[in-house]
Amino acid sequence: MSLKIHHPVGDVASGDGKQAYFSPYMDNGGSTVAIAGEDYVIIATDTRLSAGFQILSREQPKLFRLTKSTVLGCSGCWCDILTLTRLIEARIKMYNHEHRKQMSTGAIAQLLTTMLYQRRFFPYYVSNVLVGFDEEGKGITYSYDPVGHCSKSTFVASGSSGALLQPLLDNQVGLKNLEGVQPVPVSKEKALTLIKDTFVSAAERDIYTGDGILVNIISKDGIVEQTIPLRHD
Amino acid sequence: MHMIPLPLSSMKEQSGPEMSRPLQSSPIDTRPVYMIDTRCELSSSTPSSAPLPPNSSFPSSTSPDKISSPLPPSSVPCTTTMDQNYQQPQALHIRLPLPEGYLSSRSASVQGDRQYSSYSNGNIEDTGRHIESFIMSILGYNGGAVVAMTGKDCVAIASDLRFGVRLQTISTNFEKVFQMGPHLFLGLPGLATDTQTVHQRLRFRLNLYELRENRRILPKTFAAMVSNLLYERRFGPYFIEPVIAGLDPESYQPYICNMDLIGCVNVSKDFVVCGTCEEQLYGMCETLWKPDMKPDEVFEAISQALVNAFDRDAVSGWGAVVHVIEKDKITTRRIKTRMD
Repeated sequence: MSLKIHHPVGDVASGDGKQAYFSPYMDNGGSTVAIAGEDYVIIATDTRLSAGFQILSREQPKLFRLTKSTVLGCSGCWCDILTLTRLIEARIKMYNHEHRKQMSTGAIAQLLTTMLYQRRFFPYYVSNVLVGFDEEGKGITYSYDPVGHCSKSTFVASGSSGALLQPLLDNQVGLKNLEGVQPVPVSKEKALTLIKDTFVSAAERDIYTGDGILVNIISKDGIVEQTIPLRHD
Repeated sequence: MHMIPLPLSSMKEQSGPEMSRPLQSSPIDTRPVYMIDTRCELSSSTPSSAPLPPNSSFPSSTSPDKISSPLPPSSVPCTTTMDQNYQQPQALHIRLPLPEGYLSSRSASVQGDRQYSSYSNGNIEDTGRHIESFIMSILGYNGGAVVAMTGKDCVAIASDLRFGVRLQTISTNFEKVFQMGPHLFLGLPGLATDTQTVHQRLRFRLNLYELRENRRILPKTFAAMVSNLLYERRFGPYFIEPVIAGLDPESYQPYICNMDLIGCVNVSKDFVVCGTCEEQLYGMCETLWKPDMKPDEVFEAISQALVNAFDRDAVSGWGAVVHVIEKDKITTRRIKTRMD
């Protein structure tokens, strides 16, 4: 998703005076890549937070652990990300108290859709990727548009480098346009290497992606975190 | 043929040592330009190709049906299907039949394009005020993509084959890459009418150049020629973003470049991309390209890059054509792709 966002407060010269306007959205960039396997799921985001040509932070994690096995990766308008994740965390806590159990990934996915669509005409400007496990314990990814459309998959790239990276995942994980290749499930190690490679490529061409990668490797045993440096320019 | 060469002093690039070299061994092809077709055929049938000066022995490339080689960074084998029913195209592609009312529908829809929601072009804040997405611009009106890549002593250039009007596909046999010399190709993605016009105007200028200089043009000189033509229309530009790929006629050094619609040249060592799925192509090429690829590897990399990129773009695709340019041969292949 690429878009042009004005500075939040600005002036427009109009005829005999100046008219102040307020634009509620910023694009703070960031990319998310997720690959799900049989018994694991990996989600990664870059750690850059930017505004136009400025870099606000080089080490801003954009992954949010919602439960022991569900992680949300966000990119877009940072203030919307903070608000949305705070509200989701509150809703999950309420669910836990009400039902005395951990919320499943599928239930969180549905909750997120509803929360985004509630703001249909003043949306949270966030690209979300939610990862976790389905009922059978297989890895799964859910990706969203800003108004709550949800699509289930096993690999996804989203955010400022989504367009650059998605065809690569189609090719290397989805095995698209390959002939005579056995559709073997991607191993955890290969998925991790691939994610690193995609971010290195994205950092070459996308100014809103860079500085570092934060990876969460989620399996039955818990979440393993890893950080990898990217180019700093 | 009777040739009256102009005095050397009239040449701009006189300082270069290659300027004074006469072309006795390799006269430039004097047949009408539209007959020049130096491409090899894939099948074993006789190639309808003209010999490449200076190498008169022009081997017919008997490539295998499938070429597979591992691609970086992963070890997934990549194979690309080639279209066995591919007919060697007749040399000059003349204008496509345009739908009736083409011009009127174009001007009408250029003005009134609010049918797409503001979300589809990612612009939430002011609905309908800016129409900024690429497909909405004139450059993306017909769709299409071109990519070029270098290898070891070779270059490759590839394009998709779709010609459409907005989201409606009109033809799936519209080549955007043209051969401008024995080792020189030009890709013109963008507005299809300008693709054809610019191709014809460049052909004309190139013919004059070759007649005047009595030698083949250097790729970088040709790039300057294209840039010049485009900048002449600085304030009413042709809506194309050219890609040039070729080998130097003397040293056979690979050369690729692209430029924007007003002729700002960008020479690249690795790859150049242009067209409606530019972002996707950047992502693919950035990962698949590696230095010093052999011709077969370049073919595999450029094919995978292009096909996977335009599969994520609604307005390009529907088949692809790939030219691999080497010192002694040029191999043209059509790629079978998904047609949706």
